[in-house]
Amino acid sequence: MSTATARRRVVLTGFGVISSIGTGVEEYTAGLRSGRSGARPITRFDTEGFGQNTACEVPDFEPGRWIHNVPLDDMGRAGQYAVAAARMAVDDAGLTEDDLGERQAVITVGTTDGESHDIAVLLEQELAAGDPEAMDPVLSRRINAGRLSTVIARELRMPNVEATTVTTACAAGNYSIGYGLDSIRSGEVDIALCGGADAVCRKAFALFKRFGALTPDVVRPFDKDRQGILTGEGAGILVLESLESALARGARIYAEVLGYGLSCDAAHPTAPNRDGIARGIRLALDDAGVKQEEIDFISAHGTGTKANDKTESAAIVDVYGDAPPRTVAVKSMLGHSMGAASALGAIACGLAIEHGFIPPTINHRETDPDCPLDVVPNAAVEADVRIVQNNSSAFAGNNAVLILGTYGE
Amino acid sequence: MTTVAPERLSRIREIIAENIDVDLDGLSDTALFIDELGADSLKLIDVLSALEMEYSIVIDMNELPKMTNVEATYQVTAAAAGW
Repeated sequence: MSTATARRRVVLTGFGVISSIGTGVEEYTAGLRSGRSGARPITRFDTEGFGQNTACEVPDFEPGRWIHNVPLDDMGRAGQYAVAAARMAVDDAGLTEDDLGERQAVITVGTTDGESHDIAVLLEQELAAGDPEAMDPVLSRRINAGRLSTVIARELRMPNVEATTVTTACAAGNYSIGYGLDSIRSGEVDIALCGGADAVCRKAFALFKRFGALTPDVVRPFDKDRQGILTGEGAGILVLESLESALARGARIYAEVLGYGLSCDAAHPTAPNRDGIARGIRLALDDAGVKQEEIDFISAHGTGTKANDKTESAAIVDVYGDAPPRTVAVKSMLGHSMGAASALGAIACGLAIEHGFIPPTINHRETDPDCPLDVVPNAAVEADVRIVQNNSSAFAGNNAVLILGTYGE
Repeated sequence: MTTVAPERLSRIREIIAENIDVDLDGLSDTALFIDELGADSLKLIDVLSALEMEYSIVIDMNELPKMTNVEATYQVTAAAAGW
């Protein structure tokens, strides 16, 4: 693509974060810098029979602090995270409800499991009673994943929006951001609220346990002794804004969204695919008009499974050769927050650019020879960070890669 | 090596055929699931899970790579069940 100069430029002006290592931009930044771990005992569901009970739950969520207009019962945990993060993001961007009011905008939220926790509760109710009438209508009404985005429009009182939930699973956050980028580049809208949300649920826990992909202790991405993921949760919402709009209102600009690339392996339902990932990375670099040597670090998909980390490393080496950029896995801290993961990753990249540091890959002991990368083990490093790549891959073979850069005034 | 009990072997063969989606009649005890019968690791997890439910046992996930054919799967199951 050679149209980069003709396209409208898009910048990030607000971040909203609900995460297991900190709520809000300030706490999240502190968590990333210090290499905080979000792992803790599961409280959300009974783990008896699983032989383990660790996940990266959000420990201190107070929905009433952020959600003022929609009754809290209208949302499950994932919806509450999405709305709270959206409120936080527009506040962070300095946008009021009056500013947003009648504006045309795009709202996209990516998710893997939606309100699967509520679905599990409904199923328990039905099974316990032997009667579908026993299912709680309050929960039944709110399980539609489409609501993760529409409820943000309700809360922020934004009627002129296209509100879409993107269900490309563990890559959905980047898909959402890419969707918002296209909407602003094309001139359809000046503002997009984009990101992802997911809540810890038994379904995801059981799935990864059954696959043998749940670590018995901590997440060690790219380590030779890595044993899998921990399930996690949270939400990351980013305010994407046309550069003109941001400059006109004197907004603080974290970073510019330079481009993104999507690919589908069109192959295996769960196994990561080296060629598919590499193709996604190349498409993203092309779209952004960025050369390989300009990337300062890669925020990897980096789940901590045997298969992902080996395959993703190979794809990175395919694109970058023998001296790839430093490559970190924030999932070592956050666990795998599914649909929120790449949105939280993108925010981490934006904060790295803003504050000049590279977050660490924690719990690291010895890098796997199959993952020949500098993973910034265990401690963040100060660095002049100008251009960053944020990877994501999903079951079903979807890959989404985002490129962010410093906004040069 | 456990001595093979024919009726158990027969049931295990049925479970495998159903889960890796092959014809029971053509399923020999030595044909390799992945290399010869086109199964993948997901289908083998289905086999492992079905065996756990059939016999109320737990098979360690680390045993999965050993379950290469009917014969080997029988031995893994027998070890987990204490036959």
